Amino acid sequence: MSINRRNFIMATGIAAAASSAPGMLRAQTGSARVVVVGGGFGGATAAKYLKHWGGNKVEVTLIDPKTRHTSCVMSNLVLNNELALNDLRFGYGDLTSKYGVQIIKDTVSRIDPGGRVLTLKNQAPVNYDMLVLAAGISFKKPKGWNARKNPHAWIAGNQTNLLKKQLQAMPAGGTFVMTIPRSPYRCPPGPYERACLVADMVKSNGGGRVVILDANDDIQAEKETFSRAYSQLYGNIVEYYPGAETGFVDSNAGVVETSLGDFAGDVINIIPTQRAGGLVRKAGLTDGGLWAPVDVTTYESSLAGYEDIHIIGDAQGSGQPKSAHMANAQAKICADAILRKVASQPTDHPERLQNITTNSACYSPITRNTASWLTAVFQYDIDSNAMALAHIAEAGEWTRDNYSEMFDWANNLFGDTWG
Amino acid sequence: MKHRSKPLYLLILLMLAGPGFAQDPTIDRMIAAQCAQCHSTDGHATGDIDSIAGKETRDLYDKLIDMKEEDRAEDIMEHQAWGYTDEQLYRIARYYSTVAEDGDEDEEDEDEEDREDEDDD
Repeated sequence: MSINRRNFIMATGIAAAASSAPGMLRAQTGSARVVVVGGGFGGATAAKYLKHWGGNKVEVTLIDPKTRHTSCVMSNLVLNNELALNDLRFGYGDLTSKYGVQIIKDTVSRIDPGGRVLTLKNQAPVNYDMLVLAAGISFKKPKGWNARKNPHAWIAGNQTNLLKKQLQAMPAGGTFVMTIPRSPYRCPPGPYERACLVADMVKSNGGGRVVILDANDDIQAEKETFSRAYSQLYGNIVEYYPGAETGFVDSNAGVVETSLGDFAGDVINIIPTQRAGGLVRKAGLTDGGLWAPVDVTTYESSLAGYEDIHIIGDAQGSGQPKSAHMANAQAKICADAILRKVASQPTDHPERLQNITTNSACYSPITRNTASWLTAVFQYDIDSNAMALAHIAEAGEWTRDNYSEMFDWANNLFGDTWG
Repeated sequence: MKHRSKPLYLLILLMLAGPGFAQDPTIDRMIAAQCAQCHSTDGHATGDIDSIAGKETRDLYDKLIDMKEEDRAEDIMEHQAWGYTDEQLYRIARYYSTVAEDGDEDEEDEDEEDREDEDDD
């Protein structure tokens, strides 16, 4: 029998090691206290997997200001009434009942890295041995901008419903203006997908204009797909302006001033420049920059003085695309690293470094019943000490099958995160 | 083919490593957890995405390699498979075989039928 790919690995009899391999130190007695800030895709996944894999070796507390997280994933389908916002709200009950995660409903106002203490807005301070920050993004607000008049709907919740209301009330022949900030921003395909859905709505509402003011020089994700969609499906509706930097936003007059001129709109969706949320920035974890630098093999801060503080999700600046799916992916690498640290095991030995991998996948609605998808796999590259793109692809066409799969993907992602 | 494996070289390398060469199952787990974003925790997927919990190592590995070898990949899963090394795909398959399967007997029977239809090389 000739050796082929299928047979060689079976033939070499690679055996899985018993959990107490020689040379590894015994786990410490007593459990480590891990606190996770933020109950979104990154934080909830981290809290869950820490307990799922670590059991009683860790005591895990999740802190979030709200009782439920509202998912940005699929939230564009609220805009065209395919979903209700409530369909996208997820509580933490299963994290507690299935995995034993303790929940504190509060806002973290300060981190004391030396004392390993969190100051909360309303309740007593919380001590930690290890800290995972998954608190998302904040915006650099353009001058003049009033989010209550020109919603961002880029953190899901009331903003999503506000934008939906405005879109539903847009007059036939009206103009929708959307601004896209310079990369990196949360969810690379998101703005282009939103433009598609709004164009679809406008198309069946007697026509109108969808004006995309993109600060980037080109479409940032699924360029092939979105370019084709704009020309083939929405040719007389979508106007795409690359290189348009947003300046002053006159929310009262309904005008956006950009480097390419002024644009008026009946509905204006400002997606502002993004950066790590306030808690992470004020703690010094971005070193004055937009995003927190981290060691991608553990997600621990790479700045001195912040030992055992891990940052995952949109706020970290590893260069991986910012998305819910990626935050969930990173949470698992982070949880694995923390559990190894708790057990006094290495996180930087060759077998682990050769297998640090994250993936990204997402589906984008292109019309009210078709979708495309995007997928990427990243592998840790030891030479550059970074996550390198191993493969990336987009769907060849938008289909109804993809649209249906989109719901399956989202439901499984939601379940893996909060279920 | 986009991937060149060197089975004979690796076979020799592994034989040289000796019978004590062993792999950490928690690293299997760390790699395999990346599948959960679409296949849910421990592979217990819902809806039309395949559940992979409790699948036999060999079957799952063969499927993953088939997807990776698909030159004209069209499916999202084929493109996912492209991103991993053969060894990682094996480790993923090995991990999911250790997980309790879903309690769906009909699904189990379908897999049996598929296996009978396949030709052996």
